[in-house]
Amino acid sequence: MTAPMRSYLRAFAIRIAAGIPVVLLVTFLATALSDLMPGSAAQAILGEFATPEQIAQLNAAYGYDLPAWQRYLRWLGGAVQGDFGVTLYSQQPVAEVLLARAAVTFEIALAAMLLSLAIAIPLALAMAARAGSRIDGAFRIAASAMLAVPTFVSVVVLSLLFSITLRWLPATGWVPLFEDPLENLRHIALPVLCLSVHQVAYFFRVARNEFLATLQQDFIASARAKGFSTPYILWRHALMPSLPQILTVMGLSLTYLLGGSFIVESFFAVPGIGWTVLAAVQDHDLAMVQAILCLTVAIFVIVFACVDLGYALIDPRLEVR
Amino acid sequence: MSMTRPGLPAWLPAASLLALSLSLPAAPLWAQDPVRGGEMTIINGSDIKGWDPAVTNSTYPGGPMDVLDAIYGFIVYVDVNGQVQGGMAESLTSEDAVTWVLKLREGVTFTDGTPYDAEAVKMNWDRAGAEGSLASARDWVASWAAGMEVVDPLTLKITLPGPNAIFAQQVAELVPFIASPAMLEAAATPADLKPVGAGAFTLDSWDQGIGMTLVRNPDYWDAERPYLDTLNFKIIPETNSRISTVVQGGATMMAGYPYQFGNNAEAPGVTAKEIPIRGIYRGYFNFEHGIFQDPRAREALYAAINRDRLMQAYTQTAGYEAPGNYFGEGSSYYTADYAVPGYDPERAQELIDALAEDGKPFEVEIVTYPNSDMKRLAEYMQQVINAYDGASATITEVAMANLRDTCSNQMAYDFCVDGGALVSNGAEPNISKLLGTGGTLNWSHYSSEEMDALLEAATRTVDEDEIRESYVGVQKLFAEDLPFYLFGVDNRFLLMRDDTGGVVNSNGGILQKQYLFKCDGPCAE
Repeated sequence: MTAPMRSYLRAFAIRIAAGIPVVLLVTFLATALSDLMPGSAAQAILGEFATPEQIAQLNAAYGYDLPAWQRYLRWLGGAVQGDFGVTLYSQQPVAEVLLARAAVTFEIALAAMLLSLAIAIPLALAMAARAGSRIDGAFRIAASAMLAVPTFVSVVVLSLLFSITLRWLPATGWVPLFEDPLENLRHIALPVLCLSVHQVAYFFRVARNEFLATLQQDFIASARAKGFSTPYILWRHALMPSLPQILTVMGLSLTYLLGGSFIVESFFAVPGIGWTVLAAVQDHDLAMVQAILCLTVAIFVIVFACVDLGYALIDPRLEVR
Repeated sequence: MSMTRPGLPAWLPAASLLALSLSLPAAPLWAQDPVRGGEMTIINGSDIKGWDPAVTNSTYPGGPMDVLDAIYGFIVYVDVNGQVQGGMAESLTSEDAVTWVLKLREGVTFTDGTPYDAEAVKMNWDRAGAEGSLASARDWVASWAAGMEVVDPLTLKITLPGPNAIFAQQVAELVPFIASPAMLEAAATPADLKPVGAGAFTLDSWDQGIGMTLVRNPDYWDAERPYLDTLNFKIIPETNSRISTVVQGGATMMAGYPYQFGNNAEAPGVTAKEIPIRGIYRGYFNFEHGIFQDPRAREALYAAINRDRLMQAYTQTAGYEAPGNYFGEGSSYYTADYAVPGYDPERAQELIDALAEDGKPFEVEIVTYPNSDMKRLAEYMQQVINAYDGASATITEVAMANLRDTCSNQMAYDFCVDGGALVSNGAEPNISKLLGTGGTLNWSHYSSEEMDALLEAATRTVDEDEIRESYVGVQKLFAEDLPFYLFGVDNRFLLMRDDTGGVVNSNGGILQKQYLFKCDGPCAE
């Protein structure tokens, strides 16, 4: 292993280790705050006709009546061994359910991210080179409009167009990638499109501004003076210096896509973690809520650790510590 | 194309029969012969919470009782005409409305191999009525559970403490599911209960919040059925997404209302089927405290709001006609002699002024849950009430899951609106739940000895004239006391693929799933 690689791995491990207290704090707060939720898991299980005595009895049986710190330690003891408990009603192992649903959310988030980047970055480069032109203005207006469209509107409009009117894509549902790749692609299309509406516009605006600033640097003028073509300058000279900022935005976007896609998942009935956390909160399924929070915080920590290291990989002038 | 439903008792002399006895369902006459095999998917907005056979609620297709029925099967069920049909049992009959005889079918077993016999039924009903039971009908079952006697493995005799002509309907609505006693005894907590029944299907897999897959029970008592190999219940929270899925063919059917379907009901390959339940839309007055304790305030609300327009605001569809009383014109109990107050803004203002003079300002807190339909309804009411001099309304939204607790338990409201249409095409058991003292649907906490006596009298006789007389009295009292705000009626509907055969609804909409089959082409009306 080379010295720089060792250095990167060490830095990555330090960042992950620094994230552990964050995971512990957030999951503990989730345990403590669950006491403030109206109703209780026992009430949810037993139904509306349960007596207070029955609810108290079940709370005691499941340990729901213990102080928050005791409940937390009990949960943590299981979690470090990979045991996150079972779902409230179907009694499925939470870890299994979470893995399956996280895989769905990851696939959609990654696909949305790649699609958004594939559209936004070339477009932003092209428009930065034509800054101030009519077409640049048109794209900027379009990007602003796309940013202004809330997800709950885009899901309805795109569903109406592609599912109901054109009937090209399924309205809801999910087929796992390894079960039928083609059907998976058809089912993933609408959720990815909906998530990409916002992301394309966001990446376009950030990247265009970055590229514009880079294109005004002296080394670009120097490249132009040497007679390099515009496409060559854009790809070879403008793209790389702008990447750190874009990488930061990608990190933020990925966390948004992984944690904030519950509207898209609910609307298209995609069994991801966004939809699951909504249902779990409504159902008082605390084991599931806790596990999802743990996973979400871990994702944040890992993504930002990767972003930090990405800076150093892109720009060797930045020191890795 | 036309089709008839199996076992429908349109030919029955309802007045002379207490309950129906059928050894086998009548031969179905479908638009095409049923086809064996295939798969169907019923979609719903939320998942079930457990397999307790005694916990029953929500009779809409795809709802919790529909899922339980697939596993356990109705012991007897109420058809769309309000008549009791044999289900897992052959019959539940009585000659005098006091002694009831349940005749079970021979050779029926639970999926764990234990017999579905009189002992099993007795054990389930004893459990439902026992102290600590989670059944909504616990008290009712407890009132007659001691009168159960196992005559032989296929016969259970139930001697009621008094005559009850609607006992079979109540069983079908309140305790219709029987689970394996071995499973029930083995379960230490509600979460340990497993779906071990003798119904048409068995559970293959359940992914909480996503859906479940059921497969044909090879040992179902009716060897010909179920026709389907696989039945899926899929959860799709958004109404529009559910509709799109059916329209596209991603699922077989969903329950809902025409105002939700819009023109999707005319989409190719799709049809809408009406389930005649005469569901009533209702709001509850707080009889324990606040302005609506005063009968003038209740009358004022009826007079202040045009209920046709209110329904239009609620459903975004015109053409509704406000109901006059609890029973509709199609009911044999209906009388035109008594009606709730109609829209009369001048009278409403007079009443509001009179209340204000007595130091009772017409200030109304409307409590409902944050759903777009309910919001439109509450906001329309608020707007109309605020337009009257000296009247004002505020809206408080609580989570749907907490509405019952807020309204019925805490009584923290003046006017509380629950969504959905409540089945009222037959009289019982809902009429007693809504109007009887302590009734589980009586969120108003309305209490009238006279009303209780009339409701009880109607269930204690088998004489149709006496029953009608009681219910005419109920309508008179309803128009006088205004126990709740009756603002609309509607039927339930299924939006479904037009190649869906064997749609038989019971108990307000639940599908008798053993009859479902996939046609070769369009076959549903």
